[in-house]
Amino acid sequence: MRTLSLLNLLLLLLVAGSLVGCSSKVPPPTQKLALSEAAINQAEAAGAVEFAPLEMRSSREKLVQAREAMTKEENQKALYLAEQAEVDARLAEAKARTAKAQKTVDVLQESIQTLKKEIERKANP
Amino acid sequence: MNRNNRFVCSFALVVLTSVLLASCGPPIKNVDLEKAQASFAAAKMDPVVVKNAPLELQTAETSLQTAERLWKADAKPAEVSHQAYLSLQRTAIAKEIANQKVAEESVEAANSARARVLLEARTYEADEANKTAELERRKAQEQATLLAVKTVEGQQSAEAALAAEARAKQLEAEVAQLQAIKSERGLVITLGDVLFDTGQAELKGSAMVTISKIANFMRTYPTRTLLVEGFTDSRGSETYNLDLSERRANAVRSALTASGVEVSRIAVRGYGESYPVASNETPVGRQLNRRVEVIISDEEGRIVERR
Repeated sequence: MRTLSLLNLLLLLLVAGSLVGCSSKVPPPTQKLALSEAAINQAEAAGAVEFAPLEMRSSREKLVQAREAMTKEENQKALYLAEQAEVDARLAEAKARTAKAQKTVDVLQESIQTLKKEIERKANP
Repeated sequence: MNRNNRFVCSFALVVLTSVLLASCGPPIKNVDLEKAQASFAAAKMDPVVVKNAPLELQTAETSLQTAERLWKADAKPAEVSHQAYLSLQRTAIAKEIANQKVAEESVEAANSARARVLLEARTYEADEANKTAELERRKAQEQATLLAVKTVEGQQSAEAALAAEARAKQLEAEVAQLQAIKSERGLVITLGDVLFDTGQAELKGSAMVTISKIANFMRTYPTRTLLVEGFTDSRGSETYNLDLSERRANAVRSALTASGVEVSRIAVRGYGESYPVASNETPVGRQLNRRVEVIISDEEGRIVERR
């Protein structure tokens, strides 16, 4: 009887402790959500939808989940999700920029080759 | 045990358990953290990433250190994993930024290369255009020179033609002034009988006008020569007439030389009664036959002989 009560007490305290460590101390992360949304828009503008579709999808999904968590007052969870959404969006943007720059390089190299061929052709009719 | 005691014991037990649980051995392995650590270590070793994305790499490191701290302090796995995830993504961002910078440098290099090639091409084209232009210029110059020569030649021919015309006109005028008659032998000036006294071979002063005119003409046309032919009528002996005609012809020559005509240009003939130009039956006719003919040669000094 005592042991059972002791165990019960222990479990209760642990659960309470975990609950205490949970959302109630974290304020709703509205600023972070706004920042994440802005990051997603910026990534879109950089063409991330085309060049980094996985990261973009992940980012958007996490933002949606973050909003949901906030409505349920699971603020810590919302904050984590928002932070991850932001970092995903930034990665998507970086990938898009790299892909575009690489494309430019390819186009330029091709144009140089074409030019060289033209010159050769003119020089040796 | 009373209630209070029981409570205190339970509480102490819980605290002890918690403490034991908390400091129980090393922290639990976190796969996400290990992944983040590996990724970061690789990026840090890449000189391209270190050079081109130092700031982004720093941000990733900070996140990683936070994750490690939490992990060592036995924070909740969810918390550690979250920070590890942030670090992982930030490392990836650093790598992307580095790639981007490398690509941008390639773009710059490619642009320079392209500009160089274009410049080469344009220089080549310009050189070719210059060569063509130079050739064209030379051709045009040659043609212009040819044209100029032709024009000058043309002008010269025209001028020569004009000059010839002028000379011909002048000649005509002078011939007209000389009262010379154009014959197949040359220009013939007849000095009549009145210029000599009867039977004499002395040229009268009145002849000097004609002599001077002839002398002037001969000065103007230095390539021409003269043939002076003397004639008489049929009265008297042939010998006498021959002699008289010759003497009269000589007299004319003397007058001409005295007027400046070179003696080498004057030939003299006496024909006596031969070649009458009128009937010897009448006094008029006889007078006409008594004459001296001065024949001016052509430009080459030729006089056709009498037939």
